[in-house]
Order: sequence, then structure tokens, then C-alpha cells
Amino acid sequence: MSPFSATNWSEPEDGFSTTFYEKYTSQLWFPEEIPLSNDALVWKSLSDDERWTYIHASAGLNALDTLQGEVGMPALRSLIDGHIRKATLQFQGVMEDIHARSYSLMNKTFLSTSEEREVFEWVRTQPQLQFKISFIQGVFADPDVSNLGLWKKLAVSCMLETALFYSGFFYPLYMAGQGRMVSAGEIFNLIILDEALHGVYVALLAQEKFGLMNPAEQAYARAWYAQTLQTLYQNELAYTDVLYAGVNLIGEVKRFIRFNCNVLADNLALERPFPDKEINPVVQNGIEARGTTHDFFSAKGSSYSKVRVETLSDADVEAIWAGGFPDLNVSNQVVRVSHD
Amino acid sequence: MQLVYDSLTGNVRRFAEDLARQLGGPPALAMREAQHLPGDYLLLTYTFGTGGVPASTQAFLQQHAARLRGVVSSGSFHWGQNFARAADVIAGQYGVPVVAKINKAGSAANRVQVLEWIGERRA
Ligand SMILES: Cc1cc2nc3c(=O)[nH]c(=O)nc-3n(C[C@H](O)[C@H](O)[C@H](O)COP(=O)(O)O)c2cc1C
Ligand SMILES: [Fe+2]
Ligand SMILES: [Fe+2]
Repeated sequence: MSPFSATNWSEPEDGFSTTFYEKYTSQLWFPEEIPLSNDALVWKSLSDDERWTYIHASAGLNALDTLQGEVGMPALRSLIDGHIRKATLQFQGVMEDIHARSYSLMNKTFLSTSEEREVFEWVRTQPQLQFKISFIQGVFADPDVSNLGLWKKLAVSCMLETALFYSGFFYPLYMAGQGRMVSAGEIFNLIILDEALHGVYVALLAQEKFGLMNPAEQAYARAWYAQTLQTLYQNELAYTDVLYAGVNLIGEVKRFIRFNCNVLADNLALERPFPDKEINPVVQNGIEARGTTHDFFSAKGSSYSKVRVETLSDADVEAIWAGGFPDLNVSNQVVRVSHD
Repeated sequence: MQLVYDSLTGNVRRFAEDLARQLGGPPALAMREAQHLPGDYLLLTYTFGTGGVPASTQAFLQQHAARLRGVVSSGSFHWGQNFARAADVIAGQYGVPVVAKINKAGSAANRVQVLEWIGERRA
């Protein structure tokens, strides 16, 4: 067994992991920082069908983020070499947990307890959603950890990040593009940007594994990819039929899924599977909505209010400890407090 | 018109190589290999940070601004208002036109757009 080493950030393992790690930590956000109170009023003005699609789309995404945070990222982290790479993947996992929590907080804000229970039960029994999850879990659990086996795991993770989330993302973007549910829309946009980076990072690792395969393995990998994508794409179409029937957007959602499958192919350096089509202008509007008044990353969204950090001065420290080093003055402090 | 590209994950490289193939002229040059540029060139790069120009592209432009004739930038649609903004930044800084903004590795329509621009300059 080789000796255990420490993480050396001065000697990068590759040309990109540190960049991604730094980007993740600098754009870290928490759902509590985006107040949903304005949306709570809008929520009541939506039709039953609109509410149904919105909340079930979010609940499905919650399940997929839970999958990525709990199964996907730990699996990849344990199989990919390099301390910095592992740290980066672990951080991605934390981000997935934050995403899942965001969806849950939305439920809590907009739904009654019994409605919440119904939605979570729906997730447990929705056939297309469960198929997607178990299919991907199967790939993560596959004991094959050859370059090809690892590539498959990285590739399905990218499929989630870059394509299979978009049946769910469509509706909140579409709403935000019309100026409805804009605070929740902001949370979705923060999540979408996180996922855009995850999709690029994991795809870079995948491209590296792909490059290590021999031509026969690469040909096999391409064929496996085409077939897997086809299976999951057909499943997305069926899921879309269920999720969007009440709001008459099925065709638009399917077009958006295909668009994102092409982005996925670009990330993995594979052929785009679908003809190029424009994004629905309302959805495009929803994506751009956040940038109208703010620089997205320094403000992290238009109603974002993260606590500012200020450097402590000596005066602050003196005020806090009232003139003594705490460990040495425990008894003094206790006495003082009891006299106050 | 020489094509010079900067690329981190391969999208811009694939787009530039595709154009070079269709033009049938010299191959597209990766920025690292483009230290001695005899003539005019079209720069193809990507967007990084927050609507920013990659450091490698910035450094290159400081050396080679004189023969820059136009800029193409890749980005991804997720960035909304900052989509492919590197092209705007470079166009503003060096007074050259934005020839195209492409999502990731670009579409067939993007390739036509760039090829037409190059064609017009030849005529
Ligand atoms: C850390 C990081 C930041 C990015 N920032 C932006 C951005 O602000 N705007 C944008 O349109 N694309 C942004 N992108 C997306 C890239 O520009 C896009 O994926 C591009 O196709 C990369 O080109 P390449 O594959 O040739 O490296 C960013 C990507 C990364 C990894
Ligand atoms: Fe996520
Ligand atoms: Fe993710």
C-alpha cells in the first residue's frame, strides 16, 4: 500500500480542476438567501394545471438531485484518481444536496402538508422518473471500472446534468420568461448554471477516459452511448407527455430536450444527435431574466442577499473578549456574567 | 484569412477545424502555435469566468492585435445575458466586428454565417 499523501494545490493534477473548484466555491449560494414570499402570492393566482406541472416538475428534479448527491458524485469521486479531482467532485455533490433542499423549500412555501405528501408519493411511483433513476443507478453500480466502464458512469452523469434535467427546467423558465414565479425562477437559474458547469467538468473527465480507450472500445462506447441516449430520450418524451399535458406545452418541451441533448454531445465531443433548432423565446427570456439589473456572479441573482464578510479588526476582537484571552479567563468571565 | 482559435474543452477547436476544412485552405491554428502570423486573421475563442475573455486569449491579443480582423466567440446559453460575451468585449476593445456568437460547438447556420463573412472579405 502506498503512503497516503496530502492535497497539493500548488501542483495541479490537470489544467482545469482547480478552476472548477474555485468557480464552485465562489458561486456557492443557499436557497434561504432568495426569499420566495412574492411568489407565494403569485402561486395562488395560478391555475390548478399550472400549479400541478410546476410542482411535479420540481419534485422530479429533487429526486434527480438527490440521486446525484447521494449516489452519482460519491461513486465518481471514489473511482476518479487525484485529491483535487476528488475534492471537486465532492463539492459538486454538496451542490446537488443544496439543489434538492431548494426544491423541498419551495414545496414547503407553496404547498400544504397534505399536498406536499402527495407530491413526494408521486415521485416514488411515477414510472418514467423511476425508470430514469434506476437505469442510471444501474450504470453507477456496474462493477466494470475499466476506462470504458468509467466513461459510461461519467457519461450518464453528464446526461443527467446537461439533458435529462431539462424536462423539469422547462416550466419554471417558461414561467419566469413571462414574469411569473420570478424568485423561484432565480433559484432555478442558479441551479441551471451550477449544472452547466458540472456537465462541462464531468465531460472533461469523460473525454480524458475516452482518449485512453483503443479504437474498438471507442466504437463500442459510441454505440452504447447512442443506444442509451435513445432509451432515455424516449423515456423523457413519455415523461413530458405526463408532466405537460395540462398546460399544452408538450411539443415545446420536447424541442428543448433535443436542444440540450445536442449541448450534451458537444460537451462529450460526440456527434450532435438532433438537427439544430432555436430555443423557445419565452424560455430564452426566462434564462436571461436574471441578468437585467445585476451582474449575476457578484450579486448572484436579482434578489440575492448573501451575508457580507468583513475582516475583524483588533478593536472588534477586544470588544468581543473584553480584554482577556478567553481560555485563560474562563473563571473571570463566568463571574462577570453572573454579576451582570 | 487565417483562423486562430483558443479552446479549453474542444468546442471552438472543432468549430474552427470544421471551417478550415470547408474553406479548403490552411488548417486552423491553435493559439499556442500561432506565434508568427504573417497576415490577417479571424480569432475564435470562448467565454469564461463571467462573460469574460480567457486569460490565454487576452495575452495573445496583446501581442497580435494589429492583424486581428474579426472575432467569433463560443459560450453556452445557460449564461443568459453573458452568453458568448467574450466576443463583445474583444470587439469593443480592438474595434473589430463580432462575426458570430455560437452555442458550444456551433450549428450549421453558424458555420454558414462565418464562411459568408470570410467570403465577403475575399471578394
Ligand atoms: C468556468 C466556466 C465559465 C464559463 N463562463 C461562461 C460565460 O460567462 N458565458 C458563456 O456564454 N459561456 C461560459 N462558459 C461556457 C463556455 O464558454 C463554453 O462551454 C464554450 O463552448 C467552451 O469552449 P471550448 O470548448 O472551446 O473551451 C463557461 C464555462 C466554464 C467552464
Ligand atoms: Fe443539481
Ligand atoms: Fe449537477
